Amino acid sequence: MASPTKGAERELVHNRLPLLRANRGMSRADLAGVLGIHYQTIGYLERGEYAPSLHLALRIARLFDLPVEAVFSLEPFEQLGPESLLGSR
Amino acid sequence: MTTPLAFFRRLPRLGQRARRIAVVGAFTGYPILQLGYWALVVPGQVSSVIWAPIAIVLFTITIVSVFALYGYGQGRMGYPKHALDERQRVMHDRALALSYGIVTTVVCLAVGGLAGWAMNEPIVLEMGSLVPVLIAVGLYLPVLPFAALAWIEPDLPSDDEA
Repeated sequence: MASPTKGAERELVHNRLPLLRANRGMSRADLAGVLGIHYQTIGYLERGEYAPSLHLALRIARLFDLPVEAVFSLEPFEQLGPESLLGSR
Repeated sequence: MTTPLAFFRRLPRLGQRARRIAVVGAFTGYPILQLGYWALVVPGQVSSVIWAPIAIVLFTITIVSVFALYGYGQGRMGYPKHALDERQRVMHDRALALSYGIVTTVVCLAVGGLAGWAMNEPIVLEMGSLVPVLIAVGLYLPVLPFAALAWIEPDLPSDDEA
Protein backbone atom coordinates (compact mmCIF):
# COMPACT_ATOMS: atom_id res chain seq x y z
CA MET A 1 0.00 0.00 0.00
CA ALA A 2 1.18 3.50 -0.69
CA SER A 3 2.57 5.13 2.40
CA PRO A 4 0.85 8.18 3.75
CA THR A 5 2.85 11.36 3.93
CA LYS A 6 3.42 11.03 7.67
CA GLY A 7 5.50 7.93 7.09
CA ALA A 8 7.51 9.53 4.31
CA GLU A 9 10.57 9.92 6.51
CA ARG A 10 10.81 6.28 7.49
CA GLU A 11 9.57 5.01 4.11
CA LEU A 12 11.42 7.49 1.95
CA VAL A 13 11.49 6.57 -1.71
CA HIS A 14 13.93 8.60 -3.78
CA ASN A 15 13.09 9.33 -7.38
CA ARG A 16 14.33 11.03 -10.51
CA LEU A 17 11.00 12.46 -11.51
CA PRO A 18 12.11 16.13 -11.71
CA LEU A 19 15.04 15.22 -13.95
CA LEU A 20 12.97 12.93 -16.18
CA ARG A 21 10.17 15.43 -16.40
CA ALA A 22 12.56 18.25 -17.30
CA ASN A 23 14.22 16.00 -19.86
CA ARG A 24 10.87 15.47 -21.55
CA GLY A 25 9.88 19.13 -21.20
CA MET A 26 6.82 18.16 -19.19
CA SER A 27 5.21 20.23 -16.47
CA ARG A 28 3.77 18.61 -13.37
CA ALA A 29 0.32 19.21 -14.79
CA ASP A 30 1.31 17.48 -18.06
CA LEU A 31 2.67 14.44 -16.24
CA ALA A 32 -0.31 14.33 -13.89
CA GLY A 33 -2.67 14.53 -16.84
CA VAL A 34 -1.02 11.59 -18.59
CA LEU A 35 -1.08 9.53 -15.39
CA GLY A 36 -4.59 10.59 -14.44
CA ILE A 37 -3.62 11.89 -11.00
CA HIS A 38 -3.71 15.30 -9.33
CA TYR A 39 -0.79 17.57 -10.20
CA GLN A 40 -0.11 18.17 -6.51
CA THR A 41 0.52 14.45 -6.12
CA ILE A 42 3.43 14.81 -8.56
CA GLY A 43 4.78 17.59 -6.33
CA TYR A 44 4.54 15.41 -3.23
CA LEU A 45 6.21 12.52 -5.10
CA GLU A 46 9.07 14.74 -6.24
CA ARG A 47 9.56 16.09 -2.72
CA GLY A 48 9.72 12.53 -1.41
CA GLU A 49 6.72 13.17 0.83
CA TYR A 50 4.65 10.50 -0.78
CA ALA A 51 5.74 7.02 -1.77
CA PRO A 52 3.74 5.80 -4.76
CA SER A 53 1.95 2.50 -4.95
CA LEU A 54 3.69 -0.19 -6.97
CA HIS A 55 1.04 0.27 -9.66
CA LEU A 56 1.71 4.01 -9.99
CA ALA A 57 5.49 3.51 -9.85
CA LEU A 58 5.31 0.96 -12.68
CA ARG A 59 3.09 3.24 -14.74
CA ILE A 60 5.53 6.14 -14.29
CA ALA A 61 8.47 3.95 -15.24
CA ARG A 62 6.65 2.70 -18.33
CA LEU A 63 5.78 6.26 -19.31
CA PHE A 64 9.48 7.18 -19.31
CA ASP A 65 10.41 3.88 -20.93
CA LEU A 66 12.74 3.02 -18.06
CA PRO A 67 12.96 0.17 -15.56
CA VAL A 68 11.27 1.10 -12.30
CA GLU A 69 14.57 1.00 -10.39
CA ALA A 70 15.93 3.71 -12.72
CA VAL A 71 13.12 6.00 -11.59
CA PHE A 72 12.61 5.03 -7.94
CA SER A 73 15.11 3.86 -5.35
CA LEU A 74 15.37 3.29 -1.62
CA GLU A 75 18.84 4.85 -1.75
CA PRO A 76 19.58 8.40 -2.93
CA PHE A 77 20.43 8.57 -6.62
CA GLU A 78 23.82 9.75 -7.76
CA GLN A 79 23.72 13.10 -9.52
CA LEU A 80 23.23 12.22 -13.17
CA GLY A 81 22.83 14.38 -16.23
CA PRO A 82 20.12 13.77 -18.82
CA GLU A 83 22.68 12.10 -21.11
CA SER A 84 23.49 9.51 -18.48
CA LEU A 85 19.83 8.73 -18.07
CA LEU A 86 19.25 8.37 -21.75
CA GLY A 87 22.23 6.06 -21.93
CA SER A 88 20.71 3.80 -19.30
CA ARG A 89 17.75 2.84 -21.49
CA MET B 1 -11.99 42.51 -6.31
CA THR B 2 -12.11 38.98 -4.94
CA THR B 3 -15.59 37.50 -4.89
CA PRO B 4 -16.56 35.10 -2.09
CA LEU B 5 -16.74 32.30 -4.66
CA ALA B 6 -13.23 33.06 -5.96
CA PHE B 7 -11.98 33.20 -2.37
CA PHE B 8 -13.64 29.85 -1.59
CA ARG B 9 -11.98 28.26 -4.63
CA ARG B 10 -8.56 29.40 -3.42
CA LEU B 11 -9.01 27.77 -0.01
CA PRO B 12 -7.67 24.33 -1.11
CA ARG B 13 -4.26 26.00 -1.45
CA LEU B 14 -4.10 27.13 2.18
CA GLY B 15 -0.77 26.48 3.87
CA GLN B 16 -0.51 24.02 6.73
CA ARG B 17 0.01 26.76 9.34
CA ALA B 18 -3.10 28.65 8.27
CA ARG B 19 -5.07 25.40 8.19
CA ARG B 20 -3.99 24.46 11.70
CA ILE B 21 -4.90 27.93 12.96
CA ALA B 22 -8.34 27.44 11.34
CA VAL B 23 -8.73 24.07 13.09
CA VAL B 24 -7.82 25.59 16.47
CA GLY B 25 -10.11 28.57 15.82
CA ALA B 26 -13.03 26.38 14.80
CA PHE B 27 -12.76 24.00 17.74
CA THR B 28 -12.02 26.55 20.47
CA GLY B 29 -14.20 29.54 19.50
CA TYR B 30 -17.63 28.09 20.25
CA PRO B 31 -16.63 26.10 23.38
CA ILE B 32 -14.92 29.19 24.88
CA LEU B 33 -18.04 31.21 24.06
CA GLN B 34 -20.25 28.74 25.91
CA LEU B 35 -17.87 28.19 28.83
CA GLY B 36 -17.42 31.93 29.23
CA TYR B 37 -21.15 32.48 29.22
CA TRP B 38 -21.85 29.78 31.83
CA ALA B 39 -18.83 30.61 33.99
CA LEU B 40 -18.88 34.42 33.85
CA VAL B 41 -22.19 35.79 32.61
CA VAL B 42 -24.67 33.42 34.31
CA PRO B 43 -23.12 33.88 37.80
CA GLY B 44 -23.12 37.65 37.17
CA GLN B 45 -19.34 38.16 37.26
CA VAL B 46 -19.40 39.79 33.81
CA SER B 47 -22.26 41.80 32.42
CA SER B 48 -23.89 40.54 29.26
CA VAL B 49 -23.24 43.94 27.65
CA ILE B 50 -19.50 43.36 27.99
CA TRP B 51 -19.78 39.70 27.00
CA ALA B 52 -21.83 40.33 23.83
CA PRO B 53 -19.00 41.71 21.64
CA ILE B 54 -16.64 39.00 22.92
CA ALA B 55 -19.25 36.39 22.04
CA ILE B 56 -19.71 37.86 18.57
CA VAL B 57 -15.94 37.75 17.97
CA LEU B 58 -15.67 34.16 19.19
CA PHE B 59 -18.64 33.05 17.09
CA THR B 60 -17.25 34.83 14.03
CA ILE B 61 -13.89 33.11 14.53
CA THR B 62 -15.71 29.77 14.70
CA ILE B 63 -17.80 30.35 11.59
CA VAL B 64 -14.92 31.74 9.50
CA SER B 65 -12.68 28.85 10.57
CA VAL B 66 -15.33 26.24 9.78
CA PHE B 67 -15.87 27.90 6.39
CA ALA B 68 -12.12 27.73 5.72
CA LEU B 69 -12.00 24.03 6.66
CA TYR B 70 -14.91 23.17 4.37
CA GLY B 71 -13.21 25.21 1.68
CA TYR B 72 -9.92 23.39 2.10
CA GLY B 73 -11.50 19.93 1.87
CA GLN B 74 -13.86 20.75 -0.99
CA GLY B 75 -13.72 18.06 -3.63
CA ARG B 76 -11.77 15.81 -1.25
CA MET B 77 -13.91 14.77 1.70
CA GLY B 78 -17.47 13.69 1.05
CA TYR B 79 -16.63 13.30 -2.60
CA PRO B 80 -16.88 10.05 -4.60
CA LYS B 81 -13.71 8.24 -3.60
CA HIS B 82 -13.10 6.90 -7.08
CA ALA B 83 -12.67 10.49 -8.27
CA LEU B 84 -9.59 10.89 -6.06
CA ASP B 85 -6.09 9.76 -6.95
CA GLU B 86 -4.21 7.28 -4.75
CA ARG B 87 -2.49 9.89 -2.55
CA GLN B 88 -5.75 11.74 -2.04
CA ARG B 89 -7.47 8.45 -1.10
CA VAL B 90 -4.74 7.73 1.45
CA MET B 91 -5.19 11.20 2.99
CA HIS B 92 -9.00 10.80 2.86
CA ASP B 93 -8.81 7.49 4.74
CA ARG B 94 -6.33 8.86 7.30
CA ALA B 95 -8.60 11.86 7.92
CA LEU B 96 -11.62 9.59 8.43
CA ALA B 97 -9.67 7.28 10.73
CA LEU B 98 -8.43 10.22 12.81
CA SER B 99 -11.98 11.63 12.99
CA TYR B 100 -13.31 8.27 14.14
CA GLY B 101 -10.67 8.09 16.84
CA ILE B 102 -11.49 11.60 18.06
CA VAL B 103 -15.26 10.96 18.11
CA THR B 104 -14.77 7.67 19.94
CA THR B 105 -12.53 9.31 22.54
CA VAL B 106 -14.92 12.23 23.10
CA VAL B 107 -17.98 9.96 23.38
CA CYS B 108 -16.19 7.62 25.81
CA LEU B 109 -15.02 10.55 27.97
CA ALA B 110 -18.48 12.14 27.93
CA VAL B 111 -20.26 8.91 28.84
CA GLY B 112 -17.66 8.14 31.51
CA GLY B 113 -17.93 11.65 32.92
CA LEU B 114 -21.72 11.51 33.01
CA ALA B 115 -21.65 8.08 34.63
CA GLY B 116 -19.26 9.32 37.30
CA TRP B 117 -21.38 12.40 37.87
CA ALA B 118 -24.59 10.35 38.08
CA MET B 119 -23.11 8.24 40.89
CA ASN B 120 -23.05 11.27 43.19
CA GLU B 121 -26.27 12.98 42.26
CA PRO B 122 -29.12 12.57 39.77
CA ILE B 123 -28.50 14.29 36.46
CA VAL B 124 -31.24 16.63 35.28
CA LEU B 125 -31.01 17.45 31.61
CA GLU B 126 -32.68 20.71 30.70
CA MET B 127 -33.20 21.90 27.17
CA GLY B 128 -31.35 25.11 28.01
CA SER B 129 -28.14 23.24 28.72
CA LEU B 130 -28.67 20.68 25.95
CA VAL B 131 -29.06 23.19 23.11
CA PRO B 132 -25.39 24.32 23.14
CA VAL B 133 -24.32 20.67 23.08
CA LEU B 134 -26.64 19.93 20.16
CA ILE B 135 -25.34 22.99 18.29
CA ALA B 136 -21.75 21.86 18.93
CA VAL B 137 -22.52 18.35 17.67
CA GLY B 138 -24.25 19.72 14.56
CA LEU B 139 -21.41 22.17 13.94
CA TYR B 140 -18.42 19.97 14.62
CA LEU B 141 -19.38 16.43 13.64
CA PRO B 142 -19.72 17.13 9.89
CA VAL B 143 -16.60 19.31 9.74
CA LEU B 144 -14.41 16.93 11.73
CA PRO B 145 -13.07 14.92 8.72
CA PHE B 146 -12.33 18.20 6.92
CA ALA B 147 -10.49 19.47 10.00
CA ALA B 148 -8.54 16.21 10.28
CA LEU B 149 -7.49 16.47 6.62
CA ALA B 150 -6.52 20.12 7.06
CA TRP B 151 -4.42 19.21 10.10
CA ILE B 152 -2.54 16.21 8.74
CA GLU B 153 -1.85 17.20 5.14
CA PRO B 154 1.62 18.73 4.70
CA ASP B 155 2.23 21.96 2.84
CA LEU B 156 1.78 21.86 -0.89
CA PRO B 157 4.98 21.81 -2.95
CA SER B 158 6.05 25.45 -3.04
CA ASP B 159 6.77 25.55 -6.74
CA ASP B 160 3.44 24.10 -7.81
CA GLU B 161 2.44 24.51 -11.40
CA ALA B 162 -1.23 24.62 -12.29
